[in-house]
Amino acid sequence: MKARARIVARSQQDGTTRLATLAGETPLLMRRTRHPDGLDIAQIHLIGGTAGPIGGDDLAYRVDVGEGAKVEVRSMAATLALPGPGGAQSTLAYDVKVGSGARLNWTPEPLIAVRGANHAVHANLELADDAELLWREDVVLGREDEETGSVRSRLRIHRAGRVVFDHEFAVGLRYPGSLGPAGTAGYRRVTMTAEFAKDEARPMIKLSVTGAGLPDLAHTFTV
Amino acid sequence: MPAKTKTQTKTPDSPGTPPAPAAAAEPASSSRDGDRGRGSLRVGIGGPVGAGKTALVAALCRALSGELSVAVVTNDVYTDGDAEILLGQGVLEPERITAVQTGCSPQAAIRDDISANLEAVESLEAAFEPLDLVLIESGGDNLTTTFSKGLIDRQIFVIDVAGGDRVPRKGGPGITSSDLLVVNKTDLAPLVHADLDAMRRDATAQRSKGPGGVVRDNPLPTLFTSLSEHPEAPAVADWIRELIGERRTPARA
Amino acid sequence: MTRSALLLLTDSRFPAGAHAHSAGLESAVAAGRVHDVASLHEFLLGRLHSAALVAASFAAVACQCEDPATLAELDHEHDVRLVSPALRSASRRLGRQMLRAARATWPGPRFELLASLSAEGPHQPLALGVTCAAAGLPAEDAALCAVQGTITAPAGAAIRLLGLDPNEVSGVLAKLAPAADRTAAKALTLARMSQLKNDFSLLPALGSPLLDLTAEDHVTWEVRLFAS
Repeated sequence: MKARARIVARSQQDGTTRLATLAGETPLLMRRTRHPDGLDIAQIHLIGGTAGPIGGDDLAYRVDVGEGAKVEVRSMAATLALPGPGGAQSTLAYDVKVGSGARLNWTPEPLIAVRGANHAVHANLELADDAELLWREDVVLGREDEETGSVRSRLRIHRAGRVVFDHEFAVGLRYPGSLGPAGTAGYRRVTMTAEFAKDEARPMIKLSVTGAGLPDLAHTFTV
Repeated sequence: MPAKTKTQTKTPDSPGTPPAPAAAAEPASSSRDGDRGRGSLRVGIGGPVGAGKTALVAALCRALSGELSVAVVTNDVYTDGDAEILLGQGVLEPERITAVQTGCSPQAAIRDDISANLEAVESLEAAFEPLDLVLIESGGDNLTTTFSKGLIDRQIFVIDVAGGDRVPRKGGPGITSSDLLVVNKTDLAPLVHADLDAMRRDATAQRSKGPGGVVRDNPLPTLFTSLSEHPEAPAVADWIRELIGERRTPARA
Repeated sequence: MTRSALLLLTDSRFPAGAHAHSAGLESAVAAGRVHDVASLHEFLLGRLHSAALVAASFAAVACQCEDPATLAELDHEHDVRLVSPALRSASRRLGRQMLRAARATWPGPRFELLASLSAEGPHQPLALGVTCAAAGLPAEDAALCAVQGTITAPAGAAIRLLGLDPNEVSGVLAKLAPAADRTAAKALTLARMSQLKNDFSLLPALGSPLLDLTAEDHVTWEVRLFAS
């Protein structure tokens, strides 16, 4: 199935953030919810539930956070990437713009690649030179006691038109060696956040891997 | 090359006494192809584990860092303990020491593939310009290692009395061809039943033969030291001072 | 073009200092993740499909690039793909060391193309690519050389750290050779596409989160035998 979602946020004269567009086709359903700090921040919940991408799906978000607007996106629960017919790959694309003085936090619950899944994510972010961002990728490799599906994810970020971060990982049975000592080596969850403060040209990256019976490893990479 | 007065191998009269400074060995005047003759003097210090390389580096820093700008590159596994030896008593600032990892190949790093060491030396020369002296300490190794001429101008090979008094007889390029052979820990000779006279004779014999078996006019110099008793290694320091002096006033042929 | 130039460049005797870098293997050994020939094989396979592909595609582009500004942009694109500062630093150091050896081995004006980069020098794959050009080698050789270098460094480190039988390790490398060829070919295709479309986002960015984390930890060890 093919599904598109669109978010357009515009800052208002009174300092609040209005969602000029908030529209999503199943399973990319969204709803504006009340942010504890009020209407200056547009809080959006992804409410597709656990129904995540199924092999063969073609999914895409287009996000446009205008000057001065503030948007925070969360989800209610983890989503499952499921296998589709013939092992077809599902793709999820993010095309995101964050304008001058604007802020976007995109921190959904994890994506779980269930056994047999074949999922690819590609996020392309364009930030103004003083935009703020918090973007989180959180991938769980298989449900408990289950071998992992395959997932690849690429995050490419531009600041003032210039690329400042480009990171991709591919894990699962479709990717030779990716579960071995040069890959995830038994770790089951990979979490990465990219964070830009207003005046920083390059992001602060937090990376962590966890897995049952293995020591947690984490690091904050400042440039 | 100009003719220079050459001296015999200097050794103490008895174990434990230091060589008198006036009798310090003069640097071998054998010409070295490609001697850079300007910039810092690069001296490699090699020798087996535990012979006293780090102690010698510390001694030279202690003796010379007041009058010369000195930096150190070490290929030896550089622990906090080694840092303490080199940095303790403030003889050298920490920024003047660079540790270079050799990937378990200490010989390769100073001989076959010197790039990492060259990088380190050149960084130090750039950071502390003008640098007079760079000491490059090899990773602890056996007798078959020497430094590449692409990396150093002169090399010192350090062995110690406790390693056995038959070591000079075994030869190897460190013993036979290093610009200066240092036999350390003379204070231990009685305890390990080492015959210093035999070592002196064997070293002289080994260092009397040049390439192709041709006998040299004078054997390459050997110094006997006890760095624990004389932690400024005066004779070795003098040897280095002479070299630096030569470089600053090159004689015309 | 001299075919032997490729063999010279890939010879472990070529003095570019690669032998002192384990490409993350020292950490993997310390953690028990690589302990024998089979686990070494898995490690190298993982590297082949990530770091080797990236290095090879960048080397292939650099080999064909004759414009300093484009090389500078390519270097930047490689830089932003490395999350770990320790790995960025190691990559530039290896780049400098390669250029030193290459300038002496194949002296010529090709290296001037890198003059506008910072004093720290280019990342290793770019240095390799420019070196191949200076040696008269084509982009496919640059890709092959980059792939080979990515797996032989940790293989050598494993022999030294674990005392693995070098004959068995040689067998592992031979077994991986067809996959290495395919990786180089794929890298070349990606390189060509990126040049055709003038779009470096088409060059791969595959990395290993675990190796990024262990690289940062590795530089803090009191005793480490390898530089990275």
